[in-house]
Amino acid sequence: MTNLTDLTIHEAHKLLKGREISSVELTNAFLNNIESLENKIQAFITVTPDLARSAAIKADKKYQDNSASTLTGIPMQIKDIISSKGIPTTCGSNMLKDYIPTYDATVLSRLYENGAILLGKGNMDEFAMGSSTENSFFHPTANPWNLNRVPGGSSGGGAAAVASGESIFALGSDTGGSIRQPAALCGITGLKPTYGLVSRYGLVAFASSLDQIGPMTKDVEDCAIVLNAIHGKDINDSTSLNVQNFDYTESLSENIKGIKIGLPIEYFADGIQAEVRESVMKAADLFREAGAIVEECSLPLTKYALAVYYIIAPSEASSNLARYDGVRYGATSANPKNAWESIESTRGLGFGKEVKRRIMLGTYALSSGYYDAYYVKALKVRSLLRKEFTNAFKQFDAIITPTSPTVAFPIGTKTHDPVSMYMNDACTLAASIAGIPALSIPCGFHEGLPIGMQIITTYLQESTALKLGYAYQKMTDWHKQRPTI
Amino acid sequence: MPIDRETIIHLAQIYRIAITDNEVEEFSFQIEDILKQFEILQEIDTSKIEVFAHESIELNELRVDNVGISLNQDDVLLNAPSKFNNQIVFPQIIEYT
Repeated sequence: MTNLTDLTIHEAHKLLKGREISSVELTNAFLNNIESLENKIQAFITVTPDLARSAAIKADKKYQDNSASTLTGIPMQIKDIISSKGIPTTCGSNMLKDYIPTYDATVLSRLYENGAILLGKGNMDEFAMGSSTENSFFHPTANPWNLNRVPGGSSGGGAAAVASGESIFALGSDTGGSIRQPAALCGITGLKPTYGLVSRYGLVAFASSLDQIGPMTKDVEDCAIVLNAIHGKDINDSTSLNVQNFDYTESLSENIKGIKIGLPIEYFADGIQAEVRESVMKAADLFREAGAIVEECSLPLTKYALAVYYIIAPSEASSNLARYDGVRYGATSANPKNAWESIESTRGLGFGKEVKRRIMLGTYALSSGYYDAYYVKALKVRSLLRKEFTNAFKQFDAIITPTSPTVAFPIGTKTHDPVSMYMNDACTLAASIAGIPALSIPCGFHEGLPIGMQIITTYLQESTALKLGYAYQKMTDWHKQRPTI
Repeated sequence: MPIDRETIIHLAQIYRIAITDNEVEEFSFQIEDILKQFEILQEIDTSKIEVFAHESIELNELRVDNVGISLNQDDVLLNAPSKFNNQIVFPQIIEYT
């Protein structure tokens, strides 16, 4: 039999349903893997073995009385920015290292209702600010393909856990690429859904107009299964979209004849590693051979996305993070002289450098005299970027680009140069700004490190991205490669 | 736009965050470097462009204001760093004159 920790959700479900394995066996296999690999990978902040084992027993009962769903008995990791009742939710920050939520995020409630099993909480850059998971207060995470390389970020714990077989799937959050970029760097599949498709209730806020939760999985079929469980209107999130529940697995098909794909030249220009460019171009050729219509196109506003994002996201973050005042929850300063000193020193000690840097940047962009020049200007260019995508999708069903300009870089090489670190998001920011879905799937390797391809589609057209990704994974086996650790 | 030490100190004061001398030094040149990347936006004429984020935010859909179950007192106080007599303790904010 295949190693249990190499299984996808759909493969494991088949074995669970056929009583060939039990959820207890499956869960124990992952817990054992966590125990033996965590000293090298460090993908988790908190592991919940007791909770997982008792949930697995309940899941096995559901299979016995035929009330199991596809996710019943399936072990998962949840990014530590997603609220979990009774389980620490730290956001990778000293500020929240002892914070224990009193409620579950809607996505977690929905996964629990489906019978999924929580293995623990995933490591991340502090408050999701970063592209390498080196900004975690607790520890950095290693890339399972090369332990000296970063796993990407900010959902690096999720990507590394799935790639290393420490979890079947993970939930990440994506504000400017934080699901897709680590998915690319670790050779897994990751989806940032349309803004509003998945409830943000219980997702600790970073940049509220950009944040979105999504699946990180071994393949596209798993991605559709997880999306099925977590999407849909939530009364607790007024920005969640009132859409009909949809079965995304029904859109998975190998027939992609006639689908129109655009290759925007701006995403294949200087700054993109040659091997990354070649791999995505080869993927485009495969789509063409399978009957899709692939044409070059241009999205000239792409070059403004970095500036727009790094004005809007820090501005929203500086506002959102003002809630950490040491009063109701989180860290607090010892023996302050007065209230203001208490708040100032709480934030000074509780936040790490990157968070402080973005708070400074956001406060600057929102301050009197600069508000129109930076924040309002960025919002207006955001409108133009959305319009550019809307026009492109009149001509194309999907747009294909690299997910990350390069393969995973060595740990410690970019931490002192924020601008160079921000450039890692160059390919993922525009879809976040526009609020449209984008999927990353593995499409090759360079020097033993995975390469990711991004498939962007229009508003609420996740099904088209998943269909193309599924067809590609039927033609290739990049997603089936597993690292030797 | 040059960012000097005073600007960083001013930003920290208006945000109410303590930063160290080293951070003031580091942030002043890093933020200047980052702001340089933003100058590219001046290439675009946005004088006739409307500000727009997302349909779902613009609609601002409100739920029905029904009475529901709130958090109980123990849950609310669970994470409070300092508490006394079922209340949160914090240094005095309003000063008597």
